[in-house]
Amino acid sequence: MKNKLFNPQLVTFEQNASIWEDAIKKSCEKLIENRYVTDRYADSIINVVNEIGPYFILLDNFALPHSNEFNEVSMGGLSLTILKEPVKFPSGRKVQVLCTLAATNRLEHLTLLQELVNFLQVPNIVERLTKVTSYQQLQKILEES
Amino acid sequence: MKIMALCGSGLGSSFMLELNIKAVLDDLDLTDIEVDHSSITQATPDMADYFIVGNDLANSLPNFQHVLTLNNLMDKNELKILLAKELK
Repeated sequence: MKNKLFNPQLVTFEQNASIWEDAIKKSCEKLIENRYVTDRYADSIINVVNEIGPYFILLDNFALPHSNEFNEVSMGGLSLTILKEPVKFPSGRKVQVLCTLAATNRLEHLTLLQELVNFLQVPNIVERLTKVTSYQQLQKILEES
Repeated sequence: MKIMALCGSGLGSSFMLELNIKAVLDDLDLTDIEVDHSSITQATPDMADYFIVGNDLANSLPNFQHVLTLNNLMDKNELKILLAKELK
């Protein structure tokens, strides 16, 4: 039932990124293409990391990048970007799976995040996501949550 | 008693942490505890009895008492051990 969590248009696999800034930009591409956010949204996230740090690394290898620049967001959504190799953030922590959040206000996206919390309870979820290379494979994991 | 989950923006991570805190308090049979979320810039020391943050933000709260930190913000087991030790 959790197929609402990830819109197939916002999911990408086997992405290449050599540094964390690239990873953030890659994770925003689909959101930009599908007009959820402006092309300035990635920079607003990069600024957050430079100012207060990558606090949105929620688990080893897993991040929920976002910023509260509501002006750069026209629709609320969540993208999923899986990198071929992890990138290292300024804190030293590595990330290979990015769920990038676009929020239009403080409340609208909370149901989505509630689903994400449930999804993250699937055993070994991050490790399994790093190996996913198709939407079908992702859907199988989604069905378990 | 009140527990406040905090993150950088008060938008995403802290809300997800709030949900996990509520679930863990339930597991531990700890009742009558209010849980809310906010950002490190909006939070003030009088807002709650305990503040929970990821350890990368722990230094952003120098005047706060009872700051509990997590290595993995979404790790329910780590959270459970932390809350059991502090509140049981």
